[in-house]
Amino acid sequence: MVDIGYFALCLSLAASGYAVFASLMGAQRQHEGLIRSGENAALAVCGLYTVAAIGLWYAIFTKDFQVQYVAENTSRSQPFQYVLASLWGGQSGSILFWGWVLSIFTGATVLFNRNRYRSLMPYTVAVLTGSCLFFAVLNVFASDPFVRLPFTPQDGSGLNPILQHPYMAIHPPLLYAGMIGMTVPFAFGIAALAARQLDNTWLRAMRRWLLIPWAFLGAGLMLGGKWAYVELGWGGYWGWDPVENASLMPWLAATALLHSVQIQERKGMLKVWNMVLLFFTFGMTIFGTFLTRSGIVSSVHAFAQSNIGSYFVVYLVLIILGSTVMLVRRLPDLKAENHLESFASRESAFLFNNWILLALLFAVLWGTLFPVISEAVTGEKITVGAPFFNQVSIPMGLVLIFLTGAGPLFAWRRTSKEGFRRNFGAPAIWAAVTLIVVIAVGVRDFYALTSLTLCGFVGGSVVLEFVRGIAARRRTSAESVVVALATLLAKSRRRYGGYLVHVAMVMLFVGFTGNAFSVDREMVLQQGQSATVDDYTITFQTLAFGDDDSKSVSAAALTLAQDGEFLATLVPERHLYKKAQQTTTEVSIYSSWFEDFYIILVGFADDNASAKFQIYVNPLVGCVWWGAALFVVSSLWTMWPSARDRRMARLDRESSRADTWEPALSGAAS
Amino acid sequence: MTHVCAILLISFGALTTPVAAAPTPEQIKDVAHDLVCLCDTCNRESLSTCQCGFATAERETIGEMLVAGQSRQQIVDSYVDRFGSMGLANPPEGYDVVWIVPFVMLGVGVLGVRQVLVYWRRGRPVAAASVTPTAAPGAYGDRLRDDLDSFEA
Repeated sequence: MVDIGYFALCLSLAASGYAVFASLMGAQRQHEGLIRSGENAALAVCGLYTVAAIGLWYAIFTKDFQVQYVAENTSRSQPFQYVLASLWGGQSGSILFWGWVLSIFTGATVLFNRNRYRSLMPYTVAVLTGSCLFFAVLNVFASDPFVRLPFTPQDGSGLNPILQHPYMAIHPPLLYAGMIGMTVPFAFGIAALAARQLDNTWLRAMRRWLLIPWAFLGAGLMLGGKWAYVELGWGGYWGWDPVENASLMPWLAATALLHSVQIQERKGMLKVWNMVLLFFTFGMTIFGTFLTRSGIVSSVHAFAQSNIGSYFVVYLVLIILGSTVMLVRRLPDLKAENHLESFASRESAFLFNNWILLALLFAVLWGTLFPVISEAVTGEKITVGAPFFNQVSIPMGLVLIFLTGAGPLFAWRRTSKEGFRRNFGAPAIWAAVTLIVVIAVGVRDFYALTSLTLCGFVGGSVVLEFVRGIAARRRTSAESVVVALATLLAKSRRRYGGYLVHVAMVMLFVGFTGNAFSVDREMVLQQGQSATVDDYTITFQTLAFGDDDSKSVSAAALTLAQDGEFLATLVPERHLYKKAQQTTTEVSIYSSWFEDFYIILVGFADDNASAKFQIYVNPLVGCVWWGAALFVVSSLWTMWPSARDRRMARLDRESSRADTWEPALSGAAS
Repeated sequence: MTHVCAILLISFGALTTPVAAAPTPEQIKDVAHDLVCLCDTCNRESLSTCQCGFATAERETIGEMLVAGQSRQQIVDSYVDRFGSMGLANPPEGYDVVWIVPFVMLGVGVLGVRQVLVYWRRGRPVAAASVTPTAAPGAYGDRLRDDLDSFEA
């Protein structure tokens, strides 16, 4: 099976090479047969990569420790679900996984779009299979997961214990899917330039392929936060680690792009900028991967040995050069079709949205790379830690949340004075009421006050949009409020789904603001002793110890009470993983609707009579998880095809079938 | 972050005078907040929150130094002497550029957006003017246009 996997990997390398060649030749000679052949080769790449992935999985499941990757990333005592995760737990396996997911995206793109966007397809396929080719080359020549050892070890060294967590089994695949999926919109952008078909067709083709990885990335980031919160045991969910930053940056860029493409769709403006932003988003995914794989920044997630950095540099240079040349050649075709009527317009609001998102992105990029740059200049190794990122991102985040609320209140083209008053009135009142309420409950912190007030403002603006939409529907048809709301959500998925995403952002920001009020206490307790933290009382009951194949467990049992009323028994643990000789903390969390009581067992005395605990009380943290859930649901809602989308798809397919494939003609027509 | 700031401010007041009695965990964490964990696995997590053996031991060292009457600065300096300037959570003095550049870029961005808007405003007269309802005069026209806009999208 291992040999079959390796063989399939080599074949997929050849097949992707062929797919690139056939598609480009076919496009150049307008040879339909070659183009179809390229598409079929792309599907074959998908199949072959699947076989390769199954080959490695088979080796992992059968504990074939002669395969070096298996010996390094799994062990006999590893529980089943984490054996699954061993596929992407190490360097070469994760590259195989990357190529495999990319090939799935490629296959899906071919299947869903080949009848719809005939003239774009050959170039799209060429770019996608070209990327598959890169990862196949990496696997075959630089980082082969199927390499065998000259001997067969008795047991493997196992997956890093801190990664043995349910969230860790889902978080990396989601992030990968997000990073990898950005290749598809990039491919459509390049295809539009190459085919010279620069009307809104490619935007339509690309939009959903941009939303999907964007949602994956967002969900992956938030799950990663949840994992850090429950597993790493420092009471927080976001540590500004380089790898977290590497996946946040493309998400920020994609968010900016999702907004600014709307100007192009409606007004035919920002055509060049959107291309640049699209290329930049894709570039950030590759650059981020390079950052974490090359070992130039140190990170919890960094993969140890790395010889593949130089491959990524070459790939990145190719991407930058290629896309720049393509763009410059097509500049005359990318003239704006409109001009700005007023500064107070939705168009300006979108520009400011792009401004703040990119400024935030730049700040994160700067902070992440600064240690590298400064070491190159001064030779001194320094750290740019969480304090920098927090200090810079908080004010920018506040501007962002303000714009989230203000943007939709501006009308397209221009907002009249009266319209301005009408639109901003209600949200401003919401903001004022929020401010009064939070002051009344005793909040005095400047940033917290600002943040919550702005959240009230955004909430008000979203509610206003919904109220207006419902009223408009009810004017034209005798629908009840509930039916009108449901119809709005069903019919204008993009618009109202988008507003729901804004609500999710508000919830996230409320959750972030909770950090300002978290309580941090460390204490030593004797068995039977009680202590008071905030308005909670904890009593340390006892210590217990256990052992299984892979780890020794020490656990403390404590009772938690509030106002004399018993709430829960908390059991924070420490696990010592025998093989890795690594200790992990298993925190215990009591969540109420308002806040989390979070306790870590730091250590205990030799006679077991006393133990040391670290306690955090984190208000509002639940808003982060609920906001994350709403983000996932509402972004799915936004991208789910509506009846109108399906009609459009049918029309596109029919017109595509009617046309012969003539890129020059369609280019001229646009 | 605000929380962090608050702690730093409070702690500056509290810790300028040496602590003679056994320091509280909070006092130790205040100092540790300026430092990051430098063990192999934790990767520069804040020394105040890190739960690994290295961080726990270093926090105990900080506690001992506080008892010995050392100042915050002395403790931080000694950590840097032992482990290098990588141990500081923030870049040391002389690296102000790290804080300035993001905000400079923010400002440059505003200027950029302004340039674009002015350029767009100056652009050729609207070809589509005849189809937009600019013909309707005065407040009524504004109203009509706003209503139309709110129905669009």
